Amino acid sequence: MLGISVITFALSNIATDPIGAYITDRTPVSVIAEIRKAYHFDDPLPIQYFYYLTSLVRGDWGLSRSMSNEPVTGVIRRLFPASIELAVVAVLFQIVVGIPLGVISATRKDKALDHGSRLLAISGTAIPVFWLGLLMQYFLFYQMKLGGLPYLPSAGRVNEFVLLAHPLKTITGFVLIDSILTSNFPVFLDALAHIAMPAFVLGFAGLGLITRITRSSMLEVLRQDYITLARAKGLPERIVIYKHALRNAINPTITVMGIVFGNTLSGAPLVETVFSWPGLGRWAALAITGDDLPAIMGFVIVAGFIFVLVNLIVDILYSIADPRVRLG
Amino acid sequence: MFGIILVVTILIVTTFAPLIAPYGPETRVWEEKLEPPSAHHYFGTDNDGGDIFSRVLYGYRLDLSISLTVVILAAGIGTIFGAVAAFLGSKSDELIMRITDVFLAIPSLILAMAIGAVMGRTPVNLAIALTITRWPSYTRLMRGQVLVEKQKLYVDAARASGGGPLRILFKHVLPNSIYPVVVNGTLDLGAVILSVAALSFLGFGVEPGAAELGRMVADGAQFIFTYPWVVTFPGLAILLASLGLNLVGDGLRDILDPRLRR
Repeated sequence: MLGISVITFALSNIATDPIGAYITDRTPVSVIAEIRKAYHFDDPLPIQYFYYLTSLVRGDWGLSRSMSNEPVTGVIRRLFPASIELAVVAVLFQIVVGIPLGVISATRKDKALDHGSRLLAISGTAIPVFWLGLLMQYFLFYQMKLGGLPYLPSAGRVNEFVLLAHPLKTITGFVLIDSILTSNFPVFLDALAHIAMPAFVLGFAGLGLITRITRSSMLEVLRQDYITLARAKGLPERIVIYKHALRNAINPTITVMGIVFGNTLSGAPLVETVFSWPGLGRWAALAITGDDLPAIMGFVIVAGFIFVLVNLIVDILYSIADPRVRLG
Repeated sequence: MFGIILVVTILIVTTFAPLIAPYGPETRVWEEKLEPPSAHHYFGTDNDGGDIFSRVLYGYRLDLSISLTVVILAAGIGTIFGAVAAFLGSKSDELIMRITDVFLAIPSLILAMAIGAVMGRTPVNLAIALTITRWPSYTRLMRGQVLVEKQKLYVDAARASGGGPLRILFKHVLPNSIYPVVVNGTLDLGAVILSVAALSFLGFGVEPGAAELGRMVADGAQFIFTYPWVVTFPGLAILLASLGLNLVGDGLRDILDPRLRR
């Protein structure tokens, strides 16, 4: 965490003159010097870093120019739930589809489905997500709508009109959770339809990787003697695979989840821009063209923090899934 | 095999782009804007009347040269740091590895966004930003490789015959531990092309309207429903380049390291 703050400090205070955020072309020279003094920009770098850290901890992350000078921490608090909701649904999609697909590919090695999952993995690593998102909008929204078929919405988090007809009380900020808590099912279904495409696109790149890792580690485990024994005992194949084999094959998948999550975070600015998703990623993407440095740094700190946190969770899950790790 | 054909084809059309492309990258024919694909314009035309087929070929040139620069620089810097860390050990090892830890704690595309935003949105800065985010993985890879390699007998033999540490490192150890870097570099090239396109899509690198594949997708995004070919072909071009490089990288790994073959 401290390391991330060193990088963002180096980028915002050493590589550029931080005073740029506080002045315009018309600020008089004498005032510039005063501002420089007031914000400690004339002190030696280690002392500047100290001031930088204390203001980070105090929650003063600067103002976001692209959000009409709203404080960065305020914007983050407001947009955070939308981004997390999207990322969590994407990860759930990866787990729910990727792991069973990997297991089935392993048990039917070199059959059609196995080749299909290999194709999925290769295309997942090579496809530009923003392009996939646009094409899906074209087919699942535009063409379906033209053909009079049921279609998925192409932009936003929830339909304004549905929201007007069934007002939603904000409890957690997560539309999906709030609508369930208040039994507001029209909003829930609408939000689910809105999140389906962006979550699929965001999760797609990692899906193939998770499938392939699960497959190869399942193949390894299925060769072991105790699997043969379990089969010889006459246990049903379903129990052998999901209880005996998967339990021992899951760890590499958990490890790769941490890496995949990093990719998912990186995809957020792209996918949120394409689907007009009102989250942190789109804000950061807009901040790029608006030269809004405090916003970008805020996004980097939040993304870095989440990434470190997720890797910690991965380590904990690891020891739960495999008690042998705890002894070591 | 498919991967090699794909990569070679892309390399040929990229090298001879000026001979193959029917139009220049910035040629505009305003009367023929947003035309669908035809015998006249293979991939159709964009909003400014530019020929998308020609622009894709020139886009490949730009994207491939940026990506290749990034991978060569990152692999070069990363390899040297990794080799030095492993070979000297103790304090320099500790220091270099802690630095890589910090860089690897932030997802690379997001870190590149931050660096690129600070330095300004030009293609050269885009390449520098990506290089800064890419070298640590090579350092890790090389360090592990050299740690294994320097235990081997031939290193002792070289030292016994009076070779200095630098000579041993560069003449004996490096050539024997370089092959994973080559494999990783090929696979990385596929990923870097995606990153270059993604960052250009977000507004880094080239100006709007330039013949760069990610930028072309971004410029065409507003016409996705009415003129889908403007987006489809540049995106497909990115996909094919990345796909080919991934396949070739996988193939190289199988050849150089048969143990990993499944």
